[in-house]
Amino acid sequence: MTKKSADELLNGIRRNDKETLESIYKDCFPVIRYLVVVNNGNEHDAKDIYQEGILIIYQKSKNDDFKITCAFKTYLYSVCRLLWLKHLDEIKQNKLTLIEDDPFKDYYENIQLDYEKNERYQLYRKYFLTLSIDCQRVLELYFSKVSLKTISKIMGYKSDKYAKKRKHQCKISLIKKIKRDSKFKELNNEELF
Amino acid sequence: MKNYFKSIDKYFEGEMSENELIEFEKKMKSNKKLKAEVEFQKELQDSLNDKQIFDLKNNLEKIHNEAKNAQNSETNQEPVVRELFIKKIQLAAAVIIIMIIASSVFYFMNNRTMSNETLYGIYYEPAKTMLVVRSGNNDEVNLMQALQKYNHNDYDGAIEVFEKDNSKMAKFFLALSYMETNRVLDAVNLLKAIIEENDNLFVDQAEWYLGLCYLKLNETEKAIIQFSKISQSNSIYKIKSEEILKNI
Repeated sequence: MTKKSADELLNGIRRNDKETLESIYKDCFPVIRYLVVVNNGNEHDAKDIYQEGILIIYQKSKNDDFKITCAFKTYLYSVCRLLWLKHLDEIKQNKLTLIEDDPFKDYYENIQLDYEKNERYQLYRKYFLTLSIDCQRVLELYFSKVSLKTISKIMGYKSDKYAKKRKHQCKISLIKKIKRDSKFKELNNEELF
Repeated sequence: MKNYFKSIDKYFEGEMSENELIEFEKKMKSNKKLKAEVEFQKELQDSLNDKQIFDLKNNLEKIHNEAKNAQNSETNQEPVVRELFIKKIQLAAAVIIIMIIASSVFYFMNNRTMSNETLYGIYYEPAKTMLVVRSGNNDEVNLMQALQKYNHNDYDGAIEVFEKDNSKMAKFFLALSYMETNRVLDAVNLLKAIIEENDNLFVDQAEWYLGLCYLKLNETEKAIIQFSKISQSNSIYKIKSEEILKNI
């Protein structure tokens, strides 16, 4: 593998480019696996943490101002390390501790926010997929800002009014399902919902 | 909160009048629950629009599974165990190779294919003399006569003449005559001198006969070094030297 710069790798992640993702996996996964496995984790945990790390970097890469100033591998490692620390903390097995002069200290708060955002995204997607195919299609069209008139045409509804009603029903159904999940409350300020 | 759902829809769809919008934004500032709900629905909308993150997640999962499958088809063992296993095999292989080398060295030291004496017997033969009849000053006549003596195995007679001659040819045949008369150390010194001069026709031959001298002296190590030197050169004795090295 020819060494790609952090920018090229970010670009590859943004494009969901398989070749880039494969080369990152080859280069970085063994280190992440080692980190997790020697700290009370297993191969499966390592895979999850690695994927979370990449998804967080993907979220960040959507922001044009985002730049990785160190080696990509180092950055990914620091993100995964933090995610694993957080996980150990949750299961009260925190044997790794953050060191005072950790060079990535400043990133951590943002990473935490991105991590939670990705968790919520996955939760939303999970319940979206439990909706009827009809509902999924209507919501997809609606969230993509397609007009009710066009939605009605595509879906073969009798009227725009019915399309509006259907979209509303589907959305309420999805929101209810999501809010019922205890994880949603965990990821949000419970009092507000 | 359900009372607000329709308003929230209207808000996202940009269907509110200016007054409704001002009113709604005022409410969001004072009602934290409403604000949170709007933010939640906005994020829900964004997440469902961002299909790429799920494609990315699927791709990552696929790559991981492919790597795992490739690994499993190689071996069913865990990678770390496998690496250790490979290291053990490598170590074992190294030990076996070292044992083979050691035993073959031992074998050759003790059960050599040929003794130095045998090798010397096979490879040594007297040098061919160049009998050139020239104009005939005395020295040259004497040299020719000495060479004839050498050809006729009269080494003592040849030595007598060669010892008085300072020419390179005389020195070379003197060395060979010493070899024939078992004065091998004298031969070695002469051959070394010829090699050191390095500017005559006899260097390659001198190198070769020096090697043979070492065989005769049973100086195996020196012989190996000498024949290695020849086998790495362009000498006419290159191939013969390689043969000796194989059998030494």
